[in-house]
Amino acid sequence: MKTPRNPLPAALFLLLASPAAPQGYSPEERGSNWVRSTYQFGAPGTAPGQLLEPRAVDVGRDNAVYVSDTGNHRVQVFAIDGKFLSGWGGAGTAEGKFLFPWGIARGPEGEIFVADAGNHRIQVFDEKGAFLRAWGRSGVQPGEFSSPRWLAVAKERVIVVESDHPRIQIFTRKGELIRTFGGPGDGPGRFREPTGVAVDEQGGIYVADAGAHQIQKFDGEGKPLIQWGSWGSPPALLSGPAGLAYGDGKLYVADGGNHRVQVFDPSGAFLYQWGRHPAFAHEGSGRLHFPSGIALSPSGGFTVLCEPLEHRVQAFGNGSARVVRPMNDLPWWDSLHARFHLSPRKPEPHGDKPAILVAMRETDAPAVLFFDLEPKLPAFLARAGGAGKRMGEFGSPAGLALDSALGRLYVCERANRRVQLLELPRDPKTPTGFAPNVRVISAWDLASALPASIEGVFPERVQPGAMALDPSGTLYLLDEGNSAIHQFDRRMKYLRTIRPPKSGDPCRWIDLAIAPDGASLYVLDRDGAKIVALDRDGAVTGSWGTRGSGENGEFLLPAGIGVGQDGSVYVSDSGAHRILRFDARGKFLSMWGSFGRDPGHFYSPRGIVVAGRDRIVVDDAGNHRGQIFDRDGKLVELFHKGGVPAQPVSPK
Amino acid sequence: MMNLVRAFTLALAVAGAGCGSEAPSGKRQVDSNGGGYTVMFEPTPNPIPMNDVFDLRFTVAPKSGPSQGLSVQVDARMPAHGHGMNRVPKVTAQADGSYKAEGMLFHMPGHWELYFDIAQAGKTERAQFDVDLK
Repeated sequence: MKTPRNPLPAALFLLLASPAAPQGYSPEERGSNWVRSTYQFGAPGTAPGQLLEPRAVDVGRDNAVYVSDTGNHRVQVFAIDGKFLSGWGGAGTAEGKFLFPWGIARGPEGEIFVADAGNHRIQVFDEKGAFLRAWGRSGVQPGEFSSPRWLAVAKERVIVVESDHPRIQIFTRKGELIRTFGGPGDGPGRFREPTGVAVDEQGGIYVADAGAHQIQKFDGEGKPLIQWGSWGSPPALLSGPAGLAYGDGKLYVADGGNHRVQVFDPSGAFLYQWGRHPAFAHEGSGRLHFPSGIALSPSGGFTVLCEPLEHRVQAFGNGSARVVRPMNDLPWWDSLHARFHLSPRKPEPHGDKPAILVAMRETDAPAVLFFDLEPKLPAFLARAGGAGKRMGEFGSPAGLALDSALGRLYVCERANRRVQLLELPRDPKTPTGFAPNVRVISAWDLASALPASIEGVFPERVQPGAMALDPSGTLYLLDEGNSAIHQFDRRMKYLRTIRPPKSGDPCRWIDLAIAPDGASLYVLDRDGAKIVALDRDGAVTGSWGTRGSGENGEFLLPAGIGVGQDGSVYVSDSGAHRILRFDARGKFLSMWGSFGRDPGHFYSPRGIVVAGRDRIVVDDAGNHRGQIFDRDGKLVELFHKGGVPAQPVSPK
Repeated sequence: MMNLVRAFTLALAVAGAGCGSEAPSGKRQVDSNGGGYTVMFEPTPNPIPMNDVFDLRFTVAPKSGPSQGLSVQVDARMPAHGHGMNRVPKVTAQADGSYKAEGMLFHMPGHWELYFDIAQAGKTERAQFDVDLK
């Protein structure tokens, strides 16, 4: 499993790994480049030493790497060369158990702090994994949490970032609240999607904002000092920054959407960067794919990153990070193999024939893509979007609802906290039967569209996610932060809210689907690892599912849900890389797929919809393609460009 | 050089319902894509110059409801090129109830879409015109 990446003798490596900071940075270091990682380890799976969507890392004594193995609900510890040392946790709510652990940080006395996001608490362990203490519970009051995801520990303080409630809370190491600051919005001290956090030697606090594509610096009291960054790929610009690490007078940013690390000085001045998107599937060796967590070893000799989508960790000797290879490959958004691939096929003459529209998110860009599945070969129709706040641009598009009859698409955006309505007009004069350009009709701010007070819903926690439209034109918008569904009419007039029954059990609704007749609604509860069926009035009519291997009806990491014409319920499992099929009452019927790139295989499948005559359309996200199956799992068609090179193109 | 630039003129394409029509006054008028407003505009100079700054005077009339509390942003893009203007226009409300957008610039020939994004009470609607600049 471990892959030593440095052929140099150890002594030479130690020389290269000197933490001494060079005074200047060459054009090669500041420009687009590639640096070979020293070590690389991890493989997708649930066995000890394997990883499932690890989100964060830290490095302890003797360069022990602590990995928040999020999808496996555990912490695992490795030697820097990838040798598996130990692990603890498992899914659950008891002390020492986790639900989607995220941020992890080592305290000054060696304690390990873990942001236990699904259980809305911080847990503390000793270096061997013995439980020490925990604090927090679900809520929005000071000291309570709404999915705490990122944290940093500095001397006596623990700084916690919540994903569902965009604010910062500072505690003592014992869990006593010191202060809270932040809140949703734009400008100094406000956040759209706060992510990583780091602290410098003066106590300055740095917070990344994946929704605003920027970094903010605060003093130790939470007073805003500096903000920098905007969306883009050139040096110093950012795309969905995730983890932060501070050391040796520099701030290291896991620049997730740009697939690189950027390094800044404490004033926000860009210093240098390294990392490029993989040139072929699953390439590592310094190629980075949506890096998330980042940490520096106490000695300063290593920078360690985890990549959830690749289920792995890469460690860079900071000395070797000086040895860079300039890369002249295209920016990722122009790279044929780094985006959702558009169909290269010439569309069949289609005129004004009936169409089966399918819309898909392209999260990197961000954009939405329209396809028509009615022709024998799926045809790409149009693309809309771009990063930003203006109409027609998107900030973390999280849910789509297609009104096929009108050719209209609702897009809800997490970072912009709004819903936009787009239209793809028909045009019989074009080969596809559709105009090439998407029109923007309207946009609604969720803060205005939702009532100020809804029973059981925290306004601070509203996190727009999946959407669906029923046959009568009622729009369902899933609010992940509150595990609620808000109903609107087609003009976004609020109708009512559906909430799960009060049970005290972990719950996070992440996707929904409506039966073709509109009589049943199915909700995917990620934290509860189950499907909840509701009638059109929101009453629960059944539920099924259990956490397990992702086989035979068990869920490992359920990600998406769809309903067929015959009432079959299809669930994509991004951890098991397969599709599971149930009948309307939850009886397991069949499953198909496994990890891989061949047709019919999957790589972290996400969204799933059933189109037309029970064609199961799967967003095979990791493979950057769509796949279409019949109800029995027989592959009907791929739609993508392919074009990934068969051989590595990294420099020797 | 400037005279050469000004020699290029604008042709405003009327590409069917919803894309704008020309009023007798020479102003262009369109309903917003959501149907809630009517926008009428006139550029200065008219026609719109290529690669030179121009202004827009425009009015926004709600189909129903009050006109108070409106805010408007003006923008433009070349959809085939995937880019917009390289300037951010400034929109100000005028005493007579109309609006003025200053600092517009279409820096290259081709098909532009001119946007008026009208926000009121948490909802924004877009009105758009097709402009073919030659």
